[in-house]
Amino acid sequence: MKLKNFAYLLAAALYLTTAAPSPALADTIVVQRGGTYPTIQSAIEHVKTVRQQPLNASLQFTIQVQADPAAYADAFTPVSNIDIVGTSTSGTFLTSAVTISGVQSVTIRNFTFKSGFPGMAISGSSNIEITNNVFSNLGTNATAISVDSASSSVSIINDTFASNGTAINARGSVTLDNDIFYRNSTAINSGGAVTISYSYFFGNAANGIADLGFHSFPNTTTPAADPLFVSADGGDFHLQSASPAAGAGDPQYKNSFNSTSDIGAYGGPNSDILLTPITNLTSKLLGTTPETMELDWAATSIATVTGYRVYVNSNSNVAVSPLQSFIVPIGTTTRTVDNLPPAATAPDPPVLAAPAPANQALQLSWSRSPGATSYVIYFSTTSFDANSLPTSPAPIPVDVSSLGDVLHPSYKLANLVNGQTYFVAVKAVAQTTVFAGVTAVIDTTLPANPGSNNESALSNIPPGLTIGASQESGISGPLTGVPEPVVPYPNVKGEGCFIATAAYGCYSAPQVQALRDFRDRYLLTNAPGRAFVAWYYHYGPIGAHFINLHPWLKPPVRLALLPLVAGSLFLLHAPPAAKVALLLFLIVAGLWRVKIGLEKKVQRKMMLRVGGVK
Amino acid sequence: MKKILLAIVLMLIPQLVLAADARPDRPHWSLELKGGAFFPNASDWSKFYGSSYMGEYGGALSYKFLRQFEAGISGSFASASGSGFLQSSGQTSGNVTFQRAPVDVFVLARGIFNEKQLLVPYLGGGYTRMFYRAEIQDQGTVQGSVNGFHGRSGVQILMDGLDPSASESLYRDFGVHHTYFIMEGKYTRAMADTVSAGSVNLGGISAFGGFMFEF
Repeated sequence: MKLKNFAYLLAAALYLTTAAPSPALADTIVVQRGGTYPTIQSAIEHVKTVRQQPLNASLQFTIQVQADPAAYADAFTPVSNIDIVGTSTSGTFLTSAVTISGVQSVTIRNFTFKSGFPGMAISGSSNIEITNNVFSNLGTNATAISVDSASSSVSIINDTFASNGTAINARGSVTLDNDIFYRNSTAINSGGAVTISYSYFFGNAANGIADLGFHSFPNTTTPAADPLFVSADGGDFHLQSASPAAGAGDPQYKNSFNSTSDIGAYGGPNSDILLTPITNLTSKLLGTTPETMELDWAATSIATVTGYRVYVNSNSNVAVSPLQSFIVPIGTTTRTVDNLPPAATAPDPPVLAAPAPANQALQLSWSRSPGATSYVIYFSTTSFDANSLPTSPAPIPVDVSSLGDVLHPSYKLANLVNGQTYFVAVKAVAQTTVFAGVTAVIDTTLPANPGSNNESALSNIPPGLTIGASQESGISGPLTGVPEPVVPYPNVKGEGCFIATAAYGCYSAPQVQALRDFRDRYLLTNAPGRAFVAWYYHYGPIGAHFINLHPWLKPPVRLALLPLVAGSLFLLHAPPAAKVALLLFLIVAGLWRVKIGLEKKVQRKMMLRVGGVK
Repeated sequence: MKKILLAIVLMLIPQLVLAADARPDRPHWSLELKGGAFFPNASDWSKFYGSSYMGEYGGALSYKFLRQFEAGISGSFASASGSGFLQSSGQTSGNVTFQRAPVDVFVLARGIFNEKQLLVPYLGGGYTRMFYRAEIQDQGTVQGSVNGFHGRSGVQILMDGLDPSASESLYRDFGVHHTYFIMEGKYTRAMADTVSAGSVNLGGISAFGGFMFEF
């Protein structure tokens, strides 16, 4: 193959691997604030781009909008063959305009359209599904959904319309099923082929239609009644357990969490499940032998809950490897728990290892004592034994849950004084304690899973109840340890603490460097020099601090240091011959000075002898 | 060996085959971007930081008075994380991050005799201001700077001939006359005081690879 052809092939391969959008084969696009697709419209634009590839033209897409406390406010216009789905009706909010125009097969599901939403306009479209949405408080002049006469096969199923102007303005072919119309100005303004069944009307200023539909409420046998939302004023449109709309829906749309059919946005096969945790759980021991515990809690108001799951454990993480877990049927909110663990026995003493020094701390480590639920660390600057345990500083209790499931628990004894010797001991403590928690469960036959679609998160966990007295082991130790600071390698100094540095104002001044070099070469190479340096390192910072406090001292100190600096420079950099010459010069000068002195002395003595005066 | 030397000498000769249109101006500035390994002079480095070297990254900007002579400023950064030690026992303890950042002022001579010369050896050196910082976890930081010097040498490999059209575009669009791949060795000496009344060389040997752009 010629090189040129090979290059073309290589380029083509590169184009195919890099030019094609990588998500083209994926059929779910996630919209998340701060993510790759922060708005629904940006995800739709991506769908359009992908479909420009001929192989992807008919690909079905799901745009999954992540729940977010803040509403998605950017308007969007869906394209055909697309599902736009919130991750939960109660947690995914929209205030953006939705325009569905000239498209087919579009689903809008699991959203809460709230105040500020200008309305959903459907025109010239077919096979549109609007399911499991809440439209609430849009304003007295707002219309939640408008369907024009050119649209067909529009299904509005399991939706809740509350406190709006007009809930639905239908001119085309529209099917309504399992919907709740609650306190709207007008429920349905119909001018087209509207089919209604299993829907619930209450408190609307006008229902807008004479025939509320097949199996709708109210009817000839069932008068109008409040649908009993959990909190309509608070925006929670879940049904209470006593709601007349619970289980009264179209049987073909079974709830996702049980085999009945609820009317409204939280019913049907695509409803999201938001189980409110149980509240007001209290626990107490009954003082029996063997010990039993009584639990009481507040009843749930959620219609779909069929039972409560009780967890009992020896620590506050009650659902993790619980000692007991059982179901209490709905309708019961109190339960006596027996078969509790017995009172503890004294654990074996732990074996404390030699404390490891650290900066202002000692790192302690000991062997785990089976059965221990906590350890107590004693420490003091004076020696002690098992009969004279120190109370000051106060002993430190350490719960085993904070130490991790390890064979050798460790603890950092902090806030100590460096250089001080500490005596340290540790002992194990065993105490039987029980904790309890309760969850609300929809299907009690499914495995325990708090916080799932089938089971609420745990209730409040009351304080643990202790059974029997606490049991203590003997102490291990005391052992000694001396905290000390960690030294970096290399153990370099910070700058600016010595006299020359203070006088010259800069650690790297050439004069300071000369003195430093002199120290390394002429002082640190012999014992007297090292002793002098050690002395200076001890007292130098004091002088430096004084100079820094009195800046006017800097010029005279520099002047005083000048001979030292000059001498250092000469000794460091002058050739040996010059040093010898200087030495000889100094010797000669010294001898000359002595000679002059002696001569003057002799002269004075001679003058005294001849009778002169001093 | 003789053949290798001969080949190198030949590469120093102007590359006539790469001849291009003569450019009206000559580059006066150069920018280097380089990275490599730093081998500290301190003898026990690997004991505390787990390796006898660490990554070093830097750059340089210089002005060319002549094609053979330039002066400039350069800087680099290297960091290592490991443990410190206890003064009393010498045993390793704690977590320490040591960082060094030498800033150099340098002069440099280049063996360049023609703009098309493939290999350009160079040699330089100058003043070094060594900034250092040791951070001890949960304890504090020791930092400072000391004077020193450095010497460096290496070879610059002209890359224009690999893609003459790209080279021409770089010149036309960005004013970049030449692009060199550089390989460099550097020795730094900067003595800092230690707490235990001595000093330690915070320098060492660096081995760099990188690119130099002349403009």
